[in-house]
Amino acid sequence: MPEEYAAFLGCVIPFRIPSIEAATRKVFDKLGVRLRDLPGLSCCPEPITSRIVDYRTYLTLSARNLAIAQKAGLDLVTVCNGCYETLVEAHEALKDEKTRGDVNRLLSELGYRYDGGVKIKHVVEALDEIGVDRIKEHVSKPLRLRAALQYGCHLFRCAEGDDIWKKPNMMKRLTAVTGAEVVEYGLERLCCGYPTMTQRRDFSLEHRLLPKMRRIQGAGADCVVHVCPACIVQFESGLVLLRKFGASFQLPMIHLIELIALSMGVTGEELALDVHRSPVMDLARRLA
Amino acid sequence: MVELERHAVIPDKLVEAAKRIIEQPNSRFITATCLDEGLKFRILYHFSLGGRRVSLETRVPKEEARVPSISGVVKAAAWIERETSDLFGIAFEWSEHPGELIASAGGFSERPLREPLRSETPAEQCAPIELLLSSGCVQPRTTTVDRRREQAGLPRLDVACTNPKALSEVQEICRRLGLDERVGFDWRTNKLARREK
Repeated sequence: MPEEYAAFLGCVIPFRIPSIEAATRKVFDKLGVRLRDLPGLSCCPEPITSRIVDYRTYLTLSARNLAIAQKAGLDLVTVCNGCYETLVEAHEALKDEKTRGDVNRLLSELGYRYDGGVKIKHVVEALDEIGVDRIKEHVSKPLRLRAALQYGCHLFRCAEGDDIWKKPNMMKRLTAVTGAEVVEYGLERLCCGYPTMTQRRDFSLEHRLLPKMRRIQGAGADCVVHVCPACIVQFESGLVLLRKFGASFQLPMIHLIELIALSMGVTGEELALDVHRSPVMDLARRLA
Repeated sequence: MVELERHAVIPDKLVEAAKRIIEQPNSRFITATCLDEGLKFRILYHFSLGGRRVSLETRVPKEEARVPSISGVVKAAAWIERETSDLFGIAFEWSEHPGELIASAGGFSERPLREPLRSETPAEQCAPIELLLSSGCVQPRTTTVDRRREQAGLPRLDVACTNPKALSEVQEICRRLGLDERVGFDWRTNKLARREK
Protein backbone atom coordinates (compact mmCIF):
# COMPACT_ATOMS: atom_id res chain seq x y z
CA MET A 1 0.00 0.00 0.00
CA PRO A 2 1.52 3.37 -1.00
CA GLU A 3 2.30 5.72 1.87
CA GLU A 4 2.05 8.68 -0.47
CA TYR A 5 -0.25 9.58 -3.34
CA ALA A 6 -0.32 12.49 -5.76
CA ALA A 7 -3.56 14.45 -5.48
CA PHE A 8 -5.65 15.32 -8.51
CA LEU A 9 -8.33 17.65 -7.17
CA GLY A 10 -9.76 18.89 -10.49
CA CYS A 11 -11.69 22.16 -10.75
CA VAL A 12 -15.10 21.78 -9.09
CA ILE A 13 -13.74 20.58 -5.76
CA PRO A 14 -11.17 23.30 -5.03
CA PHE A 15 -13.13 26.15 -6.59
CA ARG A 16 -16.75 25.27 -5.83
CA ILE A 17 -16.94 22.73 -3.00
CA PRO A 18 -13.59 23.11 -1.19
CA SER A 19 -14.97 21.32 1.89
CA ILE A 20 -14.33 18.09 -0.05
CA GLU A 21 -10.68 19.07 -0.47
CA ALA A 22 -10.44 19.97 3.22
CA ALA A 23 -11.92 16.60 4.18
CA THR A 24 -9.57 14.74 1.82
CA ARG A 25 -6.51 16.39 3.33
CA LYS A 26 -7.67 15.77 6.89
CA VAL A 27 -8.64 12.13 6.32
CA PHE A 28 -5.35 11.25 4.60
CA ASP A 29 -3.46 13.11 7.29
CA LYS A 30 -5.23 11.16 10.05
CA LEU A 31 -4.49 7.91 8.24
CA GLY A 32 -0.82 8.84 8.05
CA VAL A 33 -0.79 8.76 4.26
CA ARG A 34 0.83 11.70 2.49
CA LEU A 35 -1.04 13.51 -0.26
CA ARG A 36 1.30 15.49 -2.49
CA ASP A 37 0.11 18.49 -4.51
CA LEU A 38 1.64 18.48 -7.97
CA PRO A 39 2.50 21.88 -9.43
CA GLY A 40 1.02 23.05 -12.72
CA LEU A 41 -1.91 20.66 -13.19
CA SER A 42 -4.83 21.88 -15.29
CA CYS A 43 -8.44 20.84 -15.75
CA CYS A 44 -8.45 17.06 -16.36
CA PRO A 45 -10.12 18.22 -18.88
CA GLU A 46 -13.84 17.88 -18.18
CA PRO A 47 -14.88 14.53 -19.71
CA ILE A 48 -17.99 15.39 -21.71
CA THR A 49 -17.38 18.82 -23.19
CA SER A 50 -13.74 18.41 -24.12
CA ARG A 51 -14.27 15.09 -25.89
CA ILE A 52 -17.25 16.37 -27.84
CA VAL A 53 -15.55 19.55 -28.94
CA ASP A 54 -12.03 18.35 -29.73
CA TYR A 55 -10.76 14.87 -28.92
CA ARG A 56 -7.09 15.61 -29.64
CA THR A 57 -7.06 18.57 -27.29
CA TYR A 58 -8.75 16.44 -24.62
CA LEU A 59 -6.13 13.72 -25.00
CA THR A 60 -3.14 16.08 -25.03
CA LEU A 61 -4.25 18.11 -22.01
CA SER A 62 -4.93 14.90 -20.15
CA ALA A 63 -1.54 13.48 -21.15
CA ARG A 64 0.13 16.65 -19.87
CA ASN A 65 -1.45 16.08 -16.45
CA LEU A 66 -0.44 12.41 -16.51
CA ALA A 67 3.11 13.36 -17.50
CA ILE A 68 3.35 15.64 -14.44
CA ALA A 69 2.19 12.74 -12.24
CA GLN A 70 4.60 10.35 -13.95
CA LYS A 71 7.49 12.68 -13.13
CA ALA A 72 6.50 12.57 -9.45
CA GLY A 73 6.54 8.76 -9.56
CA LEU A 74 3.34 8.47 -7.53
CA ASP A 75 -0.08 6.93 -8.01
CA LEU A 76 -2.62 9.61 -8.79
CA VAL A 77 -5.72 9.80 -6.64
CA THR A 78 -8.86 11.65 -7.76
CA VAL A 79 -11.79 12.61 -5.54
CA CYS A 80 -14.01 13.30 -8.54
CA ASN A 81 -15.73 10.78 -10.83
CA GLY A 82 -15.32 13.09 -13.83
CA CYS A 83 -11.56 13.50 -13.40
CA TYR A 84 -11.29 9.75 -12.86
CA GLU A 85 -13.15 9.04 -16.10
CA THR A 86 -11.08 11.52 -18.11
CA LEU A 87 -7.69 10.40 -16.87
CA VAL A 88 -8.41 6.66 -17.04
CA GLU A 89 -9.84 6.94 -20.57
CA ALA A 90 -6.86 9.03 -21.72
CA HIS A 91 -4.43 6.60 -20.10
CA GLU A 92 -6.13 3.74 -21.96
CA ALA A 93 -6.10 5.59 -25.30
CA LEU A 94 -2.42 6.43 -24.82
CA LYS A 95 -1.51 2.76 -24.61
CA ASP A 96 -1.66 2.85 -28.40
CA GLU A 97 1.87 3.59 -29.56
CA LYS A 98 0.94 5.78 -32.50
CA THR A 99 -1.53 7.85 -30.48
CA ARG A 100 1.02 8.27 -27.69
CA GLY A 101 3.70 9.24 -30.22
CA ASP A 102 1.50 11.92 -31.76
CA VAL A 103 0.63 13.37 -28.36
CA ASN A 104 4.23 13.21 -27.12
CA ARG A 105 5.51 15.08 -30.19
CA LEU A 106 3.59 18.15 -29.10
CA LEU A 107 4.16 17.61 -25.38
CA SER A 108 7.93 17.27 -25.86
CA GLU A 109 8.07 20.83 -27.16
CA LEU A 110 6.71 21.90 -23.77
CA GLY A 111 9.11 19.65 -21.87
CA TYR A 112 6.73 16.75 -21.12
CA ARG A 113 6.47 13.13 -22.09
CA TYR A 114 3.99 10.45 -21.06
CA ASP A 115 5.05 6.81 -21.21
CA GLY A 116 1.91 5.28 -19.74
CA GLY A 117 3.29 4.55 -16.29
CA VAL A 118 0.77 6.23 -14.00
CA LYS A 119 -1.79 4.34 -11.92
CA ILE A 120 -4.97 6.38 -11.58
CA LYS A 121 -7.08 5.63 -8.56
CA HIS A 122 -10.46 6.87 -7.51
CA VAL A 123 -10.45 7.89 -3.86
CA VAL A 124 -12.61 4.84 -3.00
CA GLU A 125 -9.88 2.60 -4.46
CA ALA A 126 -7.15 4.44 -2.58
CA LEU A 127 -9.09 4.23 0.71
CA ASP A 128 -9.88 0.57 0.12
CA GLU A 129 -6.19 -0.01 -0.51
CA ILE A 130 -5.27 1.83 2.70
CA GLY A 131 -7.70 -0.53 4.38
CA VAL A 132 -11.11 -0.45 5.99
CA ASP A 133 -9.59 -1.69 9.25
CA ARG A 134 -7.05 1.12 9.33
CA ILE A 135 -9.83 3.65 8.73
CA LYS A 136 -11.95 2.03 11.43
CA GLU A 137 -9.17 2.63 13.96
CA HIS A 138 -9.57 6.36 13.39
CA VAL A 139 -13.38 6.50 13.58
CA SER A 140 -13.89 8.26 16.89
CA LYS A 141 -17.50 9.37 16.37
CA PRO A 142 -19.51 6.64 14.67
CA LEU A 143 -22.34 8.25 12.75
CA ARG A 144 -25.88 7.23 13.53
CA LEU A 145 -27.68 7.92 10.31
CA ARG A 146 -29.24 6.25 7.32
CA ALA A 147 -27.35 6.96 4.12
CA ALA A 148 -28.56 6.55 0.54
CA LEU A 149 -25.67 6.18 -1.92
CA GLN A 150 -25.28 7.99 -5.21
CA TYR A 151 -22.44 6.18 -6.95
CA GLY A 152 -22.39 8.31 -10.09
CA CYS A 153 -22.16 6.77 -13.56
CA HIS A 154 -18.38 6.98 -13.95
CA LEU A 155 -17.77 4.91 -10.83
CA PHE A 156 -19.04 1.92 -12.79
CA ARG A 157 -16.32 2.32 -15.42
CA CYS A 158 -13.89 -0.56 -15.25
CA ALA A 159 -11.40 -2.49 -17.30
CA GLU A 160 -12.68 -5.09 -19.77
CA GLY A 161 -13.85 -8.17 -17.87
CA ASP A 162 -13.57 -6.50 -14.47
CA ASP A 163 -16.47 -6.34 -12.00
CA ILE A 164 -18.43 -3.12 -12.53
CA TRP A 165 -19.61 -3.26 -8.91
CA LYS A 166 -16.06 -3.36 -7.55
CA LYS A 167 -15.75 0.39 -6.86
CA PRO A 168 -19.42 0.91 -5.88
CA ASN A 169 -19.04 -1.94 -3.35
CA MET A 170 -15.93 -0.25 -1.99
CA MET A 171 -17.99 2.92 -1.55
CA LYS A 172 -20.64 0.92 0.28
CA ARG A 173 -18.07 -0.60 2.66
CA LEU A 174 -16.43 2.76 3.27
CA THR A 175 -19.79 4.37 4.09
CA ALA A 176 -20.55 1.57 6.53
CA VAL A 177 -17.21 2.00 8.28
CA THR A 178 -18.34 5.47 9.47
CA GLY A 179 -21.18 3.79 11.37
CA ALA A 180 -23.81 4.88 8.85
CA GLU A 181 -26.45 2.40 7.75
CA VAL A 182 -26.61 2.11 3.97
CA VAL A 183 -30.21 2.15 2.72
CA GLU A 184 -31.10 0.71 -0.67
CA TYR A 185 -33.60 2.61 -2.80
CA GLY A 186 -33.50 0.70 -6.07
CA LEU A 187 -32.48 3.49 -8.44
CA GLU A 188 -28.82 3.67 -7.53
CA ARG A 189 -27.70 3.15 -11.12
CA LEU A 190 -29.93 5.80 -12.66
CA CYS A 191 -27.96 8.86 -13.82
CA CYS A 192 -28.61 11.98 -11.71
CA GLY A 193 -29.26 13.96 -14.91
CA TYR A 194 -26.27 16.31 -14.67
CA PRO A 195 -24.98 15.75 -18.24
CA THR A 196 -28.35 16.55 -19.81
CA MET A 197 -29.12 19.59 -17.63
CA THR A 198 -27.88 22.10 -20.20
CA GLN A 199 -29.70 20.49 -23.13
CA ARG A 200 -32.96 19.23 -21.62
CA ARG A 201 -33.36 20.64 -18.16
CA ASP A 202 -36.95 19.51 -17.58
CA PHE A 203 -36.23 15.96 -18.77
CA SER A 204 -33.16 15.86 -16.58
CA LEU A 205 -35.08 17.01 -13.51
CA GLU A 206 -38.35 15.18 -14.02
CA HIS A 207 -37.08 11.87 -15.39
CA ARG A 208 -33.74 11.51 -13.65
CA LEU A 209 -33.46 13.45 -10.42
CA LEU A 210 -37.09 13.45 -9.30
CA PRO A 211 -37.62 9.65 -9.35
CA LYS A 212 -34.34 9.18 -7.51
CA MET A 213 -35.20 11.72 -4.84
CA ARG A 214 -38.69 10.25 -4.31
CA ARG A 215 -37.22 6.78 -3.79
CA ILE A 216 -34.47 8.10 -1.52
CA GLN A 217 -36.97 9.95 0.61
CA GLY A 218 -39.24 6.89 0.64
CA ALA A 219 -36.34 4.74 1.87
CA GLY A 220 -36.05 6.99 4.92
CA ALA A 221 -32.52 8.22 4.25
CA ASP A 222 -31.10 11.03 6.38
CA CYS A 223 -28.63 12.07 3.68
CA VAL A 224 -27.30 11.17 0.26
CA VAL A 225 -23.63 10.17 0.09
CA HIS A 226 -21.76 10.99 -3.13
CA VAL A 227 -18.33 10.49 -4.66
CA CYS A 228 -18.86 12.82 -7.60
CA PRO A 229 -18.96 16.62 -7.24
CA ALA A 230 -21.03 16.95 -10.43
CA CYS A 231 -23.73 14.75 -8.87
CA ILE A 232 -23.60 16.92 -5.74
CA VAL A 233 -24.07 20.06 -7.87
CA GLN A 234 -27.01 18.42 -9.65
CA PHE A 235 -28.71 17.19 -6.48
CA GLU A 236 -28.16 20.46 -4.61
CA SER A 237 -29.47 22.61 -7.47
CA GLY A 238 -32.30 20.12 -7.85
CA LEU A 239 -33.49 20.69 -4.30
CA VAL A 240 -34.55 24.15 -5.47
CA LEU A 241 -35.43 23.39 -9.09
CA LEU A 242 -37.65 20.41 -8.31
CA ARG A 243 -40.16 22.70 -6.60
CA LYS A 244 -41.41 23.38 -10.10
CA PHE A 245 -42.66 19.77 -10.13
CA GLY A 246 -44.36 20.18 -6.78
CA ALA A 247 -41.60 18.35 -4.93
CA SER A 248 -39.78 19.57 -1.86
CA PHE A 249 -36.72 17.85 -0.41
CA GLN A 250 -34.33 18.95 2.29
CA LEU A 251 -31.75 16.18 2.35
CA PRO A 252 -28.04 16.90 2.90
CA MET A 253 -25.78 15.95 -0.04
CA ILE A 254 -22.46 14.93 1.39
CA HIS A 255 -19.29 13.55 -0.21
CA LEU A 256 -18.08 10.22 1.18
CA ILE A 257 -14.75 11.74 2.23
CA GLU A 258 -16.60 14.46 4.20
CA LEU A 259 -18.64 11.75 5.91
CA ILE A 260 -15.47 9.86 6.82
CA ALA A 261 -13.91 13.10 8.15
CA LEU A 262 -16.95 13.70 10.39
CA SER A 263 -16.71 10.15 11.72
CA MET A 264 -13.08 10.86 12.59
CA GLY A 265 -14.13 13.76 14.75
CA VAL A 266 -13.45 16.62 12.34
CA THR A 267 -16.10 19.32 12.77
CA GLY A 268 -18.30 20.81 10.09
CA GLU A 269 -16.73 24.20 10.77
CA GLU A 270 -13.22 22.85 10.20
CA LEU A 271 -14.36 21.56 6.82
CA ALA A 272 -16.29 24.75 5.96
CA LEU A 273 -19.30 22.56 5.15
CA ASP A 274 -21.47 25.63 4.70
CA VAL A 275 -20.19 25.87 1.09
CA HIS A 276 -22.80 23.22 0.34
CA ARG A 277 -26.21 24.36 -0.91
CA SER A 278 -27.92 21.58 1.00
CA PRO A 279 -28.08 21.33 4.82
CA VAL A 280 -24.78 19.44 5.24
CA MET A 281 -23.59 21.75 8.02
CA ASP A 282 -26.87 21.15 9.90
CA LEU A 283 -26.29 17.42 9.57
CA ALA A 284 -22.73 17.77 10.92
CA ARG A 285 -23.94 19.79 13.91
CA ARG A 286 -26.69 17.30 14.61
CA LEU A 287 -24.20 14.44 14.53
CA ALA A 288 -21.75 16.28 16.77
CA MET B 1 -4.78 24.51 -67.26
CA VAL B 2 -4.46 27.67 -65.19
CA GLU B 3 -2.21 27.34 -62.18
CA LEU B 4 -3.86 28.42 -58.93
CA GLU B 5 -2.01 29.73 -55.91
CA ARG B 6 -3.46 30.83 -52.63
CA HIS B 7 -1.53 32.73 -49.97
CA ALA B 8 -2.91 33.30 -46.48
CA VAL B 9 -2.02 36.68 -45.01
CA ILE B 10 -2.97 38.38 -41.77
CA PRO B 11 -5.12 41.50 -42.30
CA ASP B 12 -2.25 43.82 -41.32
CA LYS B 13 -0.08 42.47 -44.15
CA LEU B 14 -2.79 42.43 -46.81
CA VAL B 15 -2.05 45.79 -48.44
CA GLU B 16 1.68 45.11 -48.58
CA ALA B 17 1.07 41.69 -50.17
CA ALA B 18 -1.35 43.14 -52.76
CA LYS B 19 1.17 45.84 -53.62
CA ARG B 20 3.90 43.25 -54.18
CA ILE B 21 1.69 41.38 -56.65
CA ILE B 22 0.30 44.33 -58.58
CA GLU B 23 3.74 45.90 -59.06
CA GLN B 24 4.98 42.85 -60.94
CA PRO B 25 4.89 42.76 -64.75
CA ASN B 26 1.85 41.14 -66.40
CA SER B 27 -0.30 41.42 -63.31
CA ARG B 28 -3.87 42.55 -62.96
CA PHE B 29 -6.59 42.44 -60.35
CA ILE B 30 -9.52 40.18 -61.20
CA THR B 31 -12.03 40.39 -58.34
CA ALA B 32 -12.58 39.63 -54.68
CA THR B 33 -14.85 37.08 -53.03
CA CYS B 34 -16.10 36.76 -49.51
CA LEU B 35 -17.25 33.69 -47.57
CA ASP B 36 -19.27 33.75 -44.37
CA GLU B 37 -17.75 30.95 -42.25
CA GLY B 38 -20.00 31.35 -39.25
CA LEU B 39 -17.58 32.98 -36.84
CA LYS B 40 -15.27 34.62 -39.39
CA PHE B 41 -15.30 36.14 -42.85
CA ARG B 42 -12.83 34.77 -45.34
CA ILE B 43 -11.97 37.41 -47.98
CA LEU B 44 -10.06 36.46 -51.10
CA TYR B 45 -8.48 38.90 -53.56
CA HIS B 46 -7.82 37.24 -56.92
CA PHE B 47 -5.08 38.36 -59.30
CA SER B 48 -3.78 37.26 -62.64
CA LEU B 49 -0.01 37.15 -62.63
CA GLY B 50 1.81 36.06 -65.80
CA GLY B 51 -0.86 33.48 -66.65
CA ARG B 52 -1.20 32.21 -63.07
CA ARG B 53 -4.12 32.86 -60.77
CA VAL B 54 -2.89 34.14 -57.40
CA SER B 55 -5.24 34.73 -54.50
CA LEU B 56 -4.59 36.50 -51.25
CA GLU B 57 -6.73 35.19 -48.45
CA THR B 58 -7.38 36.85 -45.14
CA ARG B 59 -9.81 36.02 -42.32
CA VAL B 60 -11.38 38.40 -39.83
CA PRO B 61 -13.72 37.77 -36.88
CA LYS B 62 -17.31 38.60 -37.82
CA GLU B 63 -17.85 40.46 -34.59
CA GLU B 64 -15.18 42.91 -35.69
CA ALA B 65 -15.41 42.60 -39.49
CA ARG B 66 -12.77 45.25 -40.23
CA VAL B 67 -10.27 44.80 -43.08
CA PRO B 68 -7.66 47.15 -44.55
CA SER B 69 -8.68 48.23 -48.05
CA ILE B 70 -6.28 47.42 -50.86
CA SER B 71 -7.89 50.10 -53.07
CA GLY B 72 -5.07 52.51 -52.23
CA VAL B 73 -2.62 50.26 -54.12
CA VAL B 74 -5.09 48.43 -56.40
CA LYS B 75 -7.63 51.01 -57.55
CA ALA B 76 -9.76 48.42 -59.36
CA ALA B 77 -10.53 46.74 -56.05
CA ALA B 78 -12.59 49.68 -54.81
CA TRP B 79 -15.88 48.63 -56.43
CA ILE B 80 -15.84 45.02 -55.27
CA GLU B 81 -14.85 46.12 -51.78
CA ARG B 82 -17.83 48.48 -51.73
CA GLU B 83 -20.14 45.74 -52.97
CA THR B 84 -18.75 43.30 -50.37
CA SER B 85 -19.25 45.94 -47.71
CA ASP B 86 -22.88 46.46 -48.78
CA LEU B 87 -23.66 42.73 -48.87
CA PHE B 88 -21.77 41.48 -45.81
CA GLY B 89 -21.37 44.58 -43.64
CA ILE B 90 -17.58 44.41 -43.63
CA ALA B 91 -15.85 47.68 -42.80
CA PHE B 92 -13.02 48.19 -45.29
CA GLU B 93 -10.58 50.79 -44.06
CA TRP B 94 -10.72 53.24 -46.95
CA SER B 95 -8.76 56.48 -46.63
CA GLU B 96 -12.00 58.21 -47.53
CA HIS B 97 -15.34 56.40 -47.39
CA PRO B 98 -16.58 56.11 -50.98
CA GLY B 99 -20.19 55.48 -49.96
CA GLU B 100 -22.51 52.58 -50.67
CA LEU B 101 -22.41 51.03 -54.11
CA ILE B 102 -25.55 48.95 -54.44
CA ALA B 103 -27.32 49.03 -51.08
CA SER B 104 -29.00 52.40 -51.50
CA ALA B 105 -29.78 51.76 -55.18
CA GLY B 106 -31.15 48.33 -54.31
CA GLY B 107 -33.18 49.76 -51.47
CA PHE B 108 -31.81 47.55 -48.69
CA SER B 109 -30.24 48.65 -45.46
CA GLU B 110 -29.65 45.17 -43.97
CA ARG B 111 -26.64 43.12 -45.11
CA PRO B 112 -28.34 40.40 -47.17
CA LEU B 113 -25.44 37.91 -47.34
CA ARG B 114 -24.38 38.25 -43.70
CA GLU B 115 -25.55 35.30 -41.64
CA PRO B 116 -25.85 35.24 -37.85
CA LEU B 117 -22.76 34.24 -35.88
CA ARG B 118 -22.72 30.48 -35.60
CA SER B 119 -20.19 28.05 -34.26
CA GLU B 120 -19.86 24.30 -34.52
CA THR B 121 -19.48 24.29 -30.74
CA PRO B 122 -22.80 23.26 -29.18
CA ALA B 123 -24.22 26.27 -27.32
CA GLU B 124 -24.30 24.39 -24.02
CA GLN B 125 -20.57 23.64 -24.27
CA CYS B 126 -19.53 27.26 -24.84
CA ALA B 127 -19.15 28.27 -21.20
CA PRO B 128 -16.86 25.40 -20.13
CA ILE B 129 -14.77 25.69 -23.30
CA GLU B 130 -14.36 29.43 -22.79
CA LEU B 131 -13.25 28.81 -19.20
CA LEU B 132 -10.86 26.04 -20.26
CA LEU B 133 -9.20 28.28 -22.85
CA SER B 134 -9.08 31.40 -20.71
CA SER B 135 -8.10 29.87 -17.36
CA GLY B 136 -7.20 26.20 -17.83
CA CYS B 137 -9.95 25.34 -15.36
CA VAL B 138 -13.69 24.82 -16.04
CA GLN B 139 -14.87 26.19 -12.71
CA PRO B 140 -14.69 29.98 -12.28
CA ARG B 141 -12.89 31.16 -9.15
CA THR B 142 -14.87 33.42 -6.86
CA THR B 143 -13.79 35.52 -3.90
CA THR B 144 -16.39 33.71 -1.75
CA VAL B 145 -14.79 30.34 -2.39
CA ASP B 146 -11.29 31.78 -1.96
CA ARG B 147 -12.44 33.04 1.46
CA ARG B 148 -13.88 29.66 2.39
CA ARG B 149 -10.62 28.01 1.33
CA GLU B 150 -8.77 30.30 3.70
CA GLN B 151 -11.26 29.59 6.50
CA ALA B 152 -10.72 25.86 6.02
CA GLY B 153 -6.94 26.39 6.13
CA LEU B 154 -6.49 25.13 2.57
CA PRO B 155 -3.25 25.92 0.73
CA ARG B 156 -3.01 28.17 -2.30
CA LEU B 157 -3.13 25.76 -5.21
CA ASP B 158 -0.50 25.77 -7.91
CA VAL B 159 -2.73 24.94 -10.89
CA ALA B 160 -3.33 26.37 -14.35
CA CYS B 161 -5.72 29.09 -13.17
CA THR B 162 -3.20 30.34 -10.59
CA ASN B 163 0.09 29.51 -12.35
CA PRO B 164 0.77 31.60 -15.49
CA LYS B 165 3.36 29.15 -16.88
CA ALA B 166 0.96 26.22 -16.62
CA LEU B 167 -1.82 28.27 -18.18
CA SER B 168 0.39 29.31 -21.09
CA GLU B 169 1.22 25.63 -21.73
CA VAL B 170 -2.46 24.69 -21.72
CA GLN B 171 -3.23 27.56 -24.08
CA GLU B 172 -0.32 26.64 -26.35
CA ILE B 173 -1.69 23.09 -26.68
CA CYS B 174 -5.16 24.46 -27.52
CA ARG B 175 -3.63 26.86 -30.05
CA ARG B 176 -1.42 24.27 -31.69
CA LEU B 177 -4.30 21.84 -32.08
CA GLY B 178 -6.54 24.56 -33.46
CA LEU B 179 -9.16 24.42 -30.71
CA ASP B 180 -9.23 28.22 -30.52
CA GLU B 181 -9.98 28.48 -34.25
CA ARG B 182 -12.63 25.77 -34.16
CA VAL B 183 -14.60 27.31 -31.34
CA GLY B 184 -13.97 30.94 -32.31
CA PHE B 185 -11.95 31.97 -29.25
CA ASP B 186 -10.67 35.54 -29.27
CA TRP B 187 -7.35 35.74 -27.41
CA ARG B 188 -7.59 39.51 -27.00
CA THR B 189 -10.86 39.40 -25.07
CA ASN B 190 -10.41 35.84 -23.70
CA LYS B 191 -13.93 35.08 -24.86
CA LEU B 192 -15.74 32.96 -27.42
CA ALA B 193 -17.62 34.55 -30.26
CA ARG B 194 -21.19 33.85 -29.21
CA ARG B 195 -23.93 32.59 -31.42
CA GLU B 196 -26.51 35.18 -32.27
CA LYS B 197 -29.99 34.26 -31.15
